[in-house]
Amino acid sequence: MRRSFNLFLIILLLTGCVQQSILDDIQMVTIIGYDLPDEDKEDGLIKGIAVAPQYLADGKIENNVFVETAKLSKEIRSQYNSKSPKPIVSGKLEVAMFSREIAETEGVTGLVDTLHRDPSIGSRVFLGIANGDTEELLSTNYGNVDTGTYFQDILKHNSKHGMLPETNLHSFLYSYYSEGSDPFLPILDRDGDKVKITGIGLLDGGKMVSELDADNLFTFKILQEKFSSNDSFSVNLDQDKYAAIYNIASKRKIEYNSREANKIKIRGSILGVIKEYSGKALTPEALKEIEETMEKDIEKRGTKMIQSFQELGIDPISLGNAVRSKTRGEFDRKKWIDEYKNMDISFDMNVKITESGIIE
Amino acid sequence: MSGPVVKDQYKVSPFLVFYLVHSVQVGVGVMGFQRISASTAGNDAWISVFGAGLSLHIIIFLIYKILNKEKGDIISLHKNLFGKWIGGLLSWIVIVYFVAMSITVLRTYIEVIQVWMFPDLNKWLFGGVFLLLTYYCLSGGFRVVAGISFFGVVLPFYLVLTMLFPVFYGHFQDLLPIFNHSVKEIYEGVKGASLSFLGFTTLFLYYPFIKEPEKSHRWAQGGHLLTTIMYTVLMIVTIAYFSTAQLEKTIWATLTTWKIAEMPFVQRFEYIGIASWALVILPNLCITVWAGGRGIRRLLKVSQKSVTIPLLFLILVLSSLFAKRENIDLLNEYTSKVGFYFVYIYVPLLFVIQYVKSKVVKAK
Repeated sequence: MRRSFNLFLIILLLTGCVQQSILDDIQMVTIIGYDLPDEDKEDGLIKGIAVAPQYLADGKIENNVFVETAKLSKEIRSQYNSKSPKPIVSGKLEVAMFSREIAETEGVTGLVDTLHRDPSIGSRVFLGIANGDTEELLSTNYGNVDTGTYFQDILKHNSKHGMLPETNLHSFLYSYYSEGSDPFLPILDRDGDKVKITGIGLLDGGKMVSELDADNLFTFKILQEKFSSNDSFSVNLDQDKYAAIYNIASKRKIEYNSREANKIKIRGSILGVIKEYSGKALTPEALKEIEETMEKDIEKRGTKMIQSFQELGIDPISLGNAVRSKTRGEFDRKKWIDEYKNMDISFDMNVKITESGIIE
Repeated sequence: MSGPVVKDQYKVSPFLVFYLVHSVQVGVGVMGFQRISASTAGNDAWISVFGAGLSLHIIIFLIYKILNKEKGDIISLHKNLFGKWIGGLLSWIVIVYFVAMSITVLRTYIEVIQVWMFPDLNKWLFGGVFLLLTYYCLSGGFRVVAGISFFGVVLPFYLVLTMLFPVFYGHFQDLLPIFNHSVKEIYEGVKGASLSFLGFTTLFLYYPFIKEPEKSHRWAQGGHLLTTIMYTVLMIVTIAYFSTAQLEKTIWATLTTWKIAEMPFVQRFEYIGIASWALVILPNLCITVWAGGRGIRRLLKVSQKSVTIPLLFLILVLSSLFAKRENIDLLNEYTSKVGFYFVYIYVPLLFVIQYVKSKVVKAK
């Protein structure tokens, strides 16, 4: 009896042996942003912006913005803490934004390292590049929502149902460390009291070297992902005749043969339905015309895109991995990029329109 | 040639060997064995893991051959083959190995909690409480240990389902081309994978505790087969999920794949996963400490209870002495190295010596 009582006592006494994080007593940062400091104070300094929502009793959400400048991003955190009434934790981080300046000059590698190293940060955290002033982008109130969740929702639904390919922390790290693939990140910008995805930035290692605007994302997604769906594309047939095609399912196949090592053929195919048509009647001929125009348009955009990738020596559509999976022996990144620059890469598109809505 | 006599009431059914073998294998190794195999065998690491698993089926077969003939445990086997002094020395080495294994398991698990959940966790306190629980199980004797290992397999088995999350992010073309590495590289990968398979050699000590031990052979093979399949699938998923250089940077690949898990009721699955892992670690500790204690009991002819408490204290103190990542890594490396040679060299050697000796005795 006495023994079991002692045991019980030990168990009771042990409950306080690690630091507790009670939800009401912490500040959960949902979005962080990094920028270079405004005036050139010292080299190597980073400005960190963290936004933590506070849920008030009347249902309102207040976004607390912390801005600090320091050498290391974790050092910034201890400075936030000195300003915050509650300890700041990063376990619920949803989005991390880097300013265009950082992405283009210093690269994001060092900053991504802190996210990668921290066990409390999930692999689903979205990464993005902020166009314009990062501090302004993050400190704006976008209605009665928590800023981090707002950004996350935009990125999440667009990569699930829209034109954006998956760009979370894990996808970034996979491409970053992969020999046959280069990462890319969405570019976000403030548009009045909303946030808009304006395109994607293409990275070489950790540095942004080029970008694609929003119009090209449809084509990019077809080139990049094996399967994609749920985005629409508009075709200009004549000056005043156009059609909008909604992508139900698209597929991408990379054909490569090690015997013809200098040639890659990318075959894309789309199953689509017509959502809008401005012409008179949708005859079978008109359908055929739409299909062909769309094929040509995408092929043209795609080929141009691939050519610019080759010139820049980047491989965001991970052709390298496709080649590596069919090449025996050691795969060397440097050698591959050299070969890739002079490769004959062709892009062939096949569009099939299956339905045209509920009217003829 | 006869081992210790164990009363029927202390024996366990043959099918429990399935859980005893499986639960002692799945421990801390599975949290991060992928990196070690993949560092040499790259995208062929799953072949290494599968190869390691298959080769150990043969070793288990040999262990049963040895024990069925001996009808005892490794202590009596050593005594019969090498005499009292050399045999005793070898037995002590085996005991030290089991104790070292329990230290490795406990310390690595505490490290995982410290890194992933609570950096300020007191290793003495946590280790003390966990060993108290171990003592509680051990004080019930071997039947309770077998029962704990049953629960240690069944209760956290749902964690197998978490292998599904990374599948959606898998790049399965990373597995191609198959056999892109030399035999030597794949063999190095086998060595790296071995820590996560070790522990089943505790069979050498609990064999006399099995009812109709000959019948338990297929259960032992079955338990090991489950481990082999699980590890191979896990390795395939891991290779597809990570790129090669990314995997080399990732210390606990299995735990890192949990970071992608998304469920409506929990933001960070690792916390649930690591906490559930306590149930996997407990039978691991119980079996190895029991094996160590049993060995000492047999050698010194004292009661096992009086051995267990000092042994647990020793484990607590020694495991807490390792403070840094490199030291813990080194401990893991040495234990797995010793285990590797124990399994692949010493067990076949024992088999040969026993065979030769029995022929010689017969000839006389």
